Amino acid sequence: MMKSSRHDDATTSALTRRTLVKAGLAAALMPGLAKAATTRKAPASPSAPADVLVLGAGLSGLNAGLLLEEQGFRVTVLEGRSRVGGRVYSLTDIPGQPDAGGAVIAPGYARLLDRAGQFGVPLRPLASPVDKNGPMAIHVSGQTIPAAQWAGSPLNPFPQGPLRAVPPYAVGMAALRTSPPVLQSVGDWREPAFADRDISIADYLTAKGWTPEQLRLAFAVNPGYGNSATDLSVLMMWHLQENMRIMAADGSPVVQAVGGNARIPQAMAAALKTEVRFNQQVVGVRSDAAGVEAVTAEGQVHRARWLLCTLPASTARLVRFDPALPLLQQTAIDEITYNRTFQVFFEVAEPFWETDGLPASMWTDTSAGRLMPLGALAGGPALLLAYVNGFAADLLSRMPPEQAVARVQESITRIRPAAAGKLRVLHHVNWQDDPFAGGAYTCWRPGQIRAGFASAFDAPVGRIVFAGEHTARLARGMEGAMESGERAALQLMELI
Amino acid sequence: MNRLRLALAAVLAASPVSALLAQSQAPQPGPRAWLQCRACHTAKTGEANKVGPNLGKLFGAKAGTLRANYTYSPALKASGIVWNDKTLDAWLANPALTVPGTRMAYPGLANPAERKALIAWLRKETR
Ligand SMILES: Cc1cc2nc3c(=O)[nH]c(=O)nc-3n(C[C@H](O)[C@H](O)[C@H](O)COP(=O)(O)OP(=O)(O)OC[C@H]3O[C@@H](n4cnc5c(N)ncnc54)[C@H](O)[C@@H]3O)c2cc1C
Ligand code: HEC
Repeated sequence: MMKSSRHDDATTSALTRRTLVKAGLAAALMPGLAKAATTRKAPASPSAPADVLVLGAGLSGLNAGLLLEEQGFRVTVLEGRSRVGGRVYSLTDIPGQPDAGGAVIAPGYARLLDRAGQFGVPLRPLASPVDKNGPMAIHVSGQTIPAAQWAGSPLNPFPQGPLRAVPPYAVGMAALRTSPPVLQSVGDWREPAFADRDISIADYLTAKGWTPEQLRLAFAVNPGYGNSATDLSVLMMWHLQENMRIMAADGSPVVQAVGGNARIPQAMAAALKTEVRFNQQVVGVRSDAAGVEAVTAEGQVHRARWLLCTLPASTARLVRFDPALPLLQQTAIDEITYNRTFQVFFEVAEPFWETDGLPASMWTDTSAGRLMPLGALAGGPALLLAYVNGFAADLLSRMPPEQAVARVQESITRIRPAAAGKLRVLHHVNWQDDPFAGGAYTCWRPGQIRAGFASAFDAPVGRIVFAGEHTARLARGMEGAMESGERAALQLMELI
Repeated sequence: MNRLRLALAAVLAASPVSALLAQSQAPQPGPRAWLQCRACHTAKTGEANKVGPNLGKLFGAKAGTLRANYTYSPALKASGIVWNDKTLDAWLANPALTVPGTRMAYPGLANPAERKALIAWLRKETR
């Protein structure tokens, strides 16, 4: 039957919620906890204490760790899970090792590609399988509409004009594209000159005559970022567009590591001189004049002269910093939002799309989210991924996992009766309720860039330096994590 | 001698093969600022392109013309820049401002002394 992720990975189990509560509680009890822990000796370590404690063995922490070690610094990486990679997570129990986390490596992902090359991790093009039944179909308000018929559909809320012919999964980005582009350099989004453009997509497009109906379809159904047009900054989306231009580089195809992208952080971790310390859930960080301590949920204390925190803001906000961080930085950590993602991976016993004649891939306004066939990539049995984002993922998060997964499966068979009895659940992943993730990737709410969150995220505080995808200046996603790790390592080299 | 061999054996047993491989690659030379460039560029003539072009024979060349097997952005090709200490200094301080529309995703090296040292090193390295 269904295999849910272990508790160290993304999951929606009640246990996970308890763990979160426990972490919060531990943080609340920190003063006592920390004292009790420090009077105990730090765990006997054969080597001298590290120069830098790195919190998190995701791409940012590993890239920083490698750079620092290469420059001669002693590094200890503490990781809460029992694996490296963080939000890069390949499902090795499924044929083809599909990626449940960071999946698409663009040709401009310089640092990630460079590490893959350095450690000999082979890559392959991530070509979408050609579907003879056509491109991704649309299923809204109980009706299935082939992409080619969308322009003529009475369910299409857009008036005659260029946007009416664009499928709903592309219409939001199309509407935000201006000529010339608002941002013409990948660093512009943080420039004060653009601060007054940091408004919601709803405000921006309503002023251009968009209706709530159009906004909902384009930004609140299967949102790649945020949940709706009201909680997403238009400036962030312009930054993404400029970022995509840069990351598309010469237009070569996007790629994926053979055996799953997790091969890259695994190879990076293997190249570290000091092994990653697993199952170290950090709940407190205390600095004094001579050094920094990280206290784990189990009361272990790790000490070093400097500390690099690469935890996503969504979990850094569960950590108690002593002394407290500057107010703007703590506000940014507390308030930045993360994309909600709930995924169900199915094995497909028989390709039901040959029976119903519809494209295997489908964009729906149901609990099935987006349906994506992965089989052609996997080279094994056909797989189907139901990829659910936004508030639809919230709905699933609030159910017991078995019920949530059943809801997804029922939605699929309601839309496509031919799928009945043909789907077997292999795995589900809930990033939002994962105690070590708390969501997929950063989404800036309107006003947060203007409020200075971006520069607050990457400002060192005493002996603490920060990295992680949310602190990236130019890139986003996996390359943003790599860039931030590099930037933080250089900051540390200057400081030490 | 024996002691050394034993120590070596212990190291070999303790380190994963890939770690040894990585460590056997001698760290690339260069000033600290080059750490920010080397994921994207190689400097010595004849080395491979990465996401950015190989920079061999950079000095005196017209921007966006050095490597036939590299796709430069239209913006860089049309910039009319010829690379020398002065043009490189402006470029490395802020590539996006110097060549709007470039595909080099680098925010700029703010410190003039670091730029100077990097350019001096590049001049030797890219000969
Ligand atoms: C579903 C999904 C799809 C994505 N798709 C793409 C894509 O196609 N392309 C792309 O470029 N990017 C994508 N991303 C984003 C990309 O994966 C991330 O931005 C990147 O991996 C983040 O790296 P990081 O090092 O900043 O953070 P992480 O990978 O989250 O690393 C942080 C580490 O800290 C650990 N940790 C957290 N809290 C604690 C604690 N209290 N104590 C100790 N350890 C802790 C975590 O376990 C983790 O290992 C996707 C992400 C998800 C989830
Ligand atoms: C993220 C990748 C990246 C980083 C980091 C980067 N570059 Fe580049 N660089 C590029 C790309 C891509 C181009 C081609 C730009 C274009 O076509 O617009 C380029 C172009 C150049 C050029 C012009 C080459 C020519 O033939 O005209 C020089 C010089 C250069 N980079 C030097 C540097 C130096 C020095 C650094 C470090 C301080 C650096 N770059 C950092 C990607 C990068």
